Amino acid sequence: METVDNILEIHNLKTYFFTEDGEVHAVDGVDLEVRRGETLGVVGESGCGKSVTFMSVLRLVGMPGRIVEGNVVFNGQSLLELPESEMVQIRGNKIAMIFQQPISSLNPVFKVGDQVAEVFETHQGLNHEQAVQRAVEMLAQVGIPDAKRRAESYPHEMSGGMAQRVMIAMGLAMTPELLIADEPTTALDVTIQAQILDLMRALKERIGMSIVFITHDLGVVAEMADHVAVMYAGQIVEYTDVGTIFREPKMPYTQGLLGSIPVLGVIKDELDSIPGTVPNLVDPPNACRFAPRCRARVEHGLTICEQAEPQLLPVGSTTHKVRCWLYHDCPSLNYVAPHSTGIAAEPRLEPSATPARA
Amino acid sequence: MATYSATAEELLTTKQESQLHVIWRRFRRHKMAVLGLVIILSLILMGAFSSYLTPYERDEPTADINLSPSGLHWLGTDELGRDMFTRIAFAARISLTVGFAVTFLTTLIGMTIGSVSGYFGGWVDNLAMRLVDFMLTIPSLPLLLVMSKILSSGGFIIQFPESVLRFFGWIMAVSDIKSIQQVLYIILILALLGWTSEARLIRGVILSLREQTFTEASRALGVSHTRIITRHMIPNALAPLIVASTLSVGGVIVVEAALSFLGFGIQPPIPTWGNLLQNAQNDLWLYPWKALYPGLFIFLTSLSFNFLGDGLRDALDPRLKI
Repeated sequence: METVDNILEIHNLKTYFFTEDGEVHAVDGVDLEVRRGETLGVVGESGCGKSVTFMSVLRLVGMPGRIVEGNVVFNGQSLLELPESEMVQIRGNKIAMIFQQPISSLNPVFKVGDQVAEVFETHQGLNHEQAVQRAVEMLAQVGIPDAKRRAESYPHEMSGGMAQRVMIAMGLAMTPELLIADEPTTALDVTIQAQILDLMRALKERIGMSIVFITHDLGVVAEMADHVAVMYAGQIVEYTDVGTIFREPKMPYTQGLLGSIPVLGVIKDELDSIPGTVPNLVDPPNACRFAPRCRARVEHGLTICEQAEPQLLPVGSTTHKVRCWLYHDCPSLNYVAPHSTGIAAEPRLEPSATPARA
Repeated sequence: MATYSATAEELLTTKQESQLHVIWRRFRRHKMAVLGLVIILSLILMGAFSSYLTPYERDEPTADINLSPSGLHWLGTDELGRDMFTRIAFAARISLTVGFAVTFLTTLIGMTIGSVSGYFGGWVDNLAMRLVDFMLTIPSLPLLLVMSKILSSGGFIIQFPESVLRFFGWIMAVSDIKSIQQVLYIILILALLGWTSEARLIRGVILSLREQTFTEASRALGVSHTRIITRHMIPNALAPLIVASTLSVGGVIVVEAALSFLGFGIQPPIPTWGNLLQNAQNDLWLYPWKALYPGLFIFLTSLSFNFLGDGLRDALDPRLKI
């Protein structure tokens, strides 16, 4: 098997929030890898754990959240074991993150030039004057016209698109190896969105970094990503390259997501939607998280979906992985999948589990 | 035909109204606050030039005792024939010094404890806030009296550096070391008891700032905790802090007056507004101006600081669009 060069590997990551209502399993066993020089799109509904997964990578999950299990390997280095002082060196320097709300991501009482300059001061120890000069150069690079004058502006004097450019300038100031973009275009209107995406692509080429693109917009994924991970209720449910996800999505959830996109030129009275809502993540049952909303389960009359949790396993090609009982057999429950790929899953079973099919 | 000679550069550089200018414009609308500021500035000037305003000596007794206010003695004289205005003007130096020094210290202590407590939360926060609760249960006046008695009786001596003593002596126009020390004790006691409200205020502001995206964004860019607190949070908390400090100056001046009225703090012949009031008690009905004017100054000062604080609150609040 060919060895792939992964810049980031996430192994069985679990981040729980310990609230008064119980343990919220916001991230529940995520396995992911980001290949060097590639863009990984992470797609899912609001609250499915996309952001928390990558906040965990940077170890920025605050109380009452805690990483309870798993490992994060960046460039061969395990991030979860590093002391905080070394973690500070990595944030903004090797891994940068930009956020959804560009204007509120900037400190309202400082000029944007000074805020970009702060990155240089923090990581390169430049004095303020040099840092501001570098900041102006950086602002020009992200396409801010008249950068020298704009550096003197306060965040509230900027448009959302401009502010997002400033955020990108801050993120890319240290030419990081990995950029985590958490819905960077969600708050922007479509034309600005296109500009920002173009800018990110151009900068990615120039710097040669990898990008994790967190979004709920499949259109953006199609445009930006090389590989796609679909998340549902704290888990990865499908992972494959961007072509395959649009051509032959396997997981019913992914199919539902794709069906809900309006297509230009196709006249429909109503868009497809996935019935039901995102499940409560407090103490989830040992079952498929999507089962209550799954049409395929009903069509095939499957009962195993509610008895055992499926695993993320390959279907067909080794790079296409799906977490769904439609494709994997379970010998210990004498279960044969309707679209069996011949690959067997051995899930953790409830003691009371009975064979799914007699 | 009109010709336009403006260059592109001139057209581009729109004159930006500076932040200070905006604040001043808003502040000016608040007539009472402007009046308060004028009174405070006059009091400071009055204190600073107290030795040049009148031809009289501060502590030197004369034969003109208990004169009522006149063109010669604007606010009358006391039972030793000393000019009341001269004494009140000198006393302003002490009152204002105590007011500003205590506020400076309480703000410093309150800011540090409040921001650390709000930012880190958890047991640090718990510890700090229980300390605040504890401080608030202490009845402050009896404690102040006991503490100043202990300190002034020499039962417990703090060695202040020579330069500090000389600096305060110069500001307050007091040469007697023991009196200067007395004032410094009062400043320390008031500061140690007074930081709680500032700490609570800052903690609240920091708690809400901590949840904002820009804090998260700074963390994600590798900015350290210390730098986030000092560079990102405190500047954001500055507006309420300035308002609270301003309001506190007036309160401190009143407490200091109360202490010295009760006979703690600086002793006569050095005048303070508080001990001038105390002095007037015996013949209050015969010579009411001896009590009226020091009282009026305490009242005016405290009121002016309150108006100033109100005005600043409106001027510094960016959400108020006027």
